[in-house]
Amino acid sequence: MAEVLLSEEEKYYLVLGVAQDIRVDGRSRLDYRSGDVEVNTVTNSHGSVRIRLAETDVIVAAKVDLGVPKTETPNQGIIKFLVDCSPTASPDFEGRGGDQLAETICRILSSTYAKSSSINLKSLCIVPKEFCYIVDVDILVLQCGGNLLDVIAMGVKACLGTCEIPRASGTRYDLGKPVPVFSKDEFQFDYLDVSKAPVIVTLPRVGRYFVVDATLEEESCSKGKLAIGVAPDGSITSVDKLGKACYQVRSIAASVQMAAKVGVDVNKVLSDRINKLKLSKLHSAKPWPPKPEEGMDVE
Amino acid sequence: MSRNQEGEAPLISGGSRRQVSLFDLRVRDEFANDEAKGSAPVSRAANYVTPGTIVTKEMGFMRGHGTFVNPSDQSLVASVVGAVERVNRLVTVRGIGGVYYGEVGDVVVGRITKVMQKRWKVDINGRLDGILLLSSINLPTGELRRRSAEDELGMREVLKEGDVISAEIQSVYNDGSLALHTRSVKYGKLGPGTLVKVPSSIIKRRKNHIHNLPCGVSVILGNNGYVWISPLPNGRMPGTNLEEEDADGKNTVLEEIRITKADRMAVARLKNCIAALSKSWLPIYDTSLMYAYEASTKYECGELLRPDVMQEIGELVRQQMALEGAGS
Amino acid sequence: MSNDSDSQMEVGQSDEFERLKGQTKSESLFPKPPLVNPKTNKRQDGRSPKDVRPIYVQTGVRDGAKGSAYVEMGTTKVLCIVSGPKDLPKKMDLSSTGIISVDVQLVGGKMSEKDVILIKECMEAVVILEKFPKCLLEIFLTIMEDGGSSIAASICAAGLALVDSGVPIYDTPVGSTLLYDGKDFYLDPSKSELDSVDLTDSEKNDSGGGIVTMGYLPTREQICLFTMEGKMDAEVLASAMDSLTNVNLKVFAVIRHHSMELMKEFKETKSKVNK
Repeated sequence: MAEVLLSEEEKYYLVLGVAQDIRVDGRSRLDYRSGDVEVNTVTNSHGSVRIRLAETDVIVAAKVDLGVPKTETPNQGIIKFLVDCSPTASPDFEGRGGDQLAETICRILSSTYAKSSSINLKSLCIVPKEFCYIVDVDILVLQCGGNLLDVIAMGVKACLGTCEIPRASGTRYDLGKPVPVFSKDEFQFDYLDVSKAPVIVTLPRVGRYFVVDATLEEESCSKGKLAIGVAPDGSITSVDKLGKACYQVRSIAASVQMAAKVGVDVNKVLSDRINKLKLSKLHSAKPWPPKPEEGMDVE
Repeated sequence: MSRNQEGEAPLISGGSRRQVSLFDLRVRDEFANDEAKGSAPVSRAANYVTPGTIVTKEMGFMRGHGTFVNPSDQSLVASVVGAVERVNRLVTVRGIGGVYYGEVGDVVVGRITKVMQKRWKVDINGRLDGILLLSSINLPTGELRRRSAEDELGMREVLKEGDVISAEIQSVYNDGSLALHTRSVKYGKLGPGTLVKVPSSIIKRRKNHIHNLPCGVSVILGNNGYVWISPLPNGRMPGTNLEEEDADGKNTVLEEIRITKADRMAVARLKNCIAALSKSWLPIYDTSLMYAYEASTKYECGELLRPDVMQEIGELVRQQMALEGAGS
Repeated sequence: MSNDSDSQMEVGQSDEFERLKGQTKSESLFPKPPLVNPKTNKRQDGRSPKDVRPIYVQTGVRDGAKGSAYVEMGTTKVLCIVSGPKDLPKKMDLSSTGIISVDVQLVGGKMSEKDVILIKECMEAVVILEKFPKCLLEIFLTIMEDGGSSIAASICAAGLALVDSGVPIYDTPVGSTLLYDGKDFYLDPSKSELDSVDLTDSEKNDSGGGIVTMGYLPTREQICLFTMEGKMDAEVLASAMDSLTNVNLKVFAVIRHHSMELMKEFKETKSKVNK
């Protein structure tokens, strides 16, 4: 990820601070920075979310399309991910720099959401073997202020949870083949159930300790990190050792325990916010076609 | 220490202050209302200009930064957004954000980016890098003599890429780049601490920019917008840039410097206060820092990162400054 | 779980080593048999859950290359060639330590970018990069057949190729894989076993399941590559890591045996030359 140049003295101060559990900005090793999340940032998609955690800023947008299920999984829908680390997010992302990172994140997300334990892909199937929903999730990194993977994972969960899947009210038969019929009322849609979807807790290792939600400076002081996917019930859905450092077995085991505890808390807060976002969508939904203002001429 | 070494097993969750991790995620709608309630910086009367606005048509004024001469009618036109300032016959437009223009005598905090022949290049957040000549530093041994070829080869021992220094602007070259010097004991390589970046225009120009605050922390308010906070006096790395009588040839080893938890908390609190002042676009100087520090004591250090808390501190400081202004 | 007897590892060095036959793509579409035959408590290929498939290693398989190795773990066949260290090409920036590039070719498919990055970072942790600044070390892997555990086999092959090339490394890396189906651990799973545990279908496995791959440095006792996907509890993952560590030590025994054989050959040729 983006590297920051630091002096030996700054690194000394930072690393010892982590050891004393007082990070440079006063947080403890388990604290996240402050953030916010909002919906409907991209209006021509079925669901979109903008999530910020301090300087890290990510937009996640989902578009739902009609398609054919894969032959190996005839009664499941498909979720596809595309990550774009734009050069505006960080000077490191110029040229091919951002592509490798984007690929890694994409792969982690794809394998996480291909599991039935995270999301019920069968709910995206309309007619087995014939029709299913294909959800294209686009992730755009606006600014990278550290801890990018975690923020993206939270954003994806929020986006999928507030994405409006059109409701197929039935099938009619066209030349003997079943074709889905969609209701004309745009308020008839479903939400995907993301109550079991995991969140990713990235633990870079600074000195001898692991920290949660690292800033760019803290990441520059770490030689490696563990990206651990944690489901709301505390089970681990993925572990990836990223970076050049090596770990002992008990380090990985202990950090997985730590991530499990932290992940449960994060999932609780995130689920609550997703529900609030769904409510706020209902309140702000505008009727279509828009009514003209009083006194304005309508062409 | 080889990069693969791990040492003893890390205490990962044991020993942390927290049992439950702190995670504060807000939903934007409810929060957007709070932001609207906050007051914008008070704008004074009509001195603000935008690029293209004619500042003056009269002759005889010297043009400073942020202006240019319109060739067709010889009028002075603003080239940035900002406030017009006039000192005798010098007219400048001080931009709101903008690039830092150095002036002789400014105290700046910078980071070494390159070691070249007989000079260092320093990033000082300006249009161009600052230049620190080998002849503009005190030799490690404190001697006063002409620099030799050995000194040139040993430059990296004194200052290398990534090091942070405090320095004073000695002069401005023709192309606008700034010559720095660290010839006083209060300048030089900075020891353990942290760097905060704020817009250069909110650092208030004062007589003194290096403060050793009563809370046990020293802060250097670089005119260029780089602020250095450290538990060491003057922010400086002990054992570097010494006067001749103090130099005893022994360098302080980094690992021997001990920093207490209280000092760390104070540094972190001050860092968050500076971020709060910067967000509310308040001028930063020793008094405003102390107001902010006092206002922040009712919150835990980590809580100061919340946007609503930052706003509240900004408000309190603004009120106190208005009171002081009215009283004096 | 199965009994505690140590499994015997075959070290194939001669022509008597038999090739194991894997499954074709069309065969894999047939209904999947259960992992363990309930009557015999053995897996489909006759192993007990803790057994690892036969490992065959060979170095010096490519004359022109600086270092090369060929590893077979059951049906998985991986060839690795090491080239360099050589000067950095002009377009790369100078760096104070060496740079490694890893290229993986998978016959009949493409390895995902993330897995390639994992292997690359593992190699960067293993090679003593400070010894050759401003140089490039290229590692080419060709997975001729992926019969399961291809990442683990790649690590072993790359490690052996580095040993063969004489590039200084901290330790000999070894790799192994573990499959968890919600109840038991199955070490060194074959492709058909991996396919039969379908993590995308909740009806087939609700109690969890996962695949864990670990790259290990045996003398230093450190993990140089680690990836897990699926759904497991933290305690289950911890005991999976312990099982994998044991397997890795056994795999290392095979590789070390081969390195010792190489040393013997070298001493013999050297003494013949000196006579």
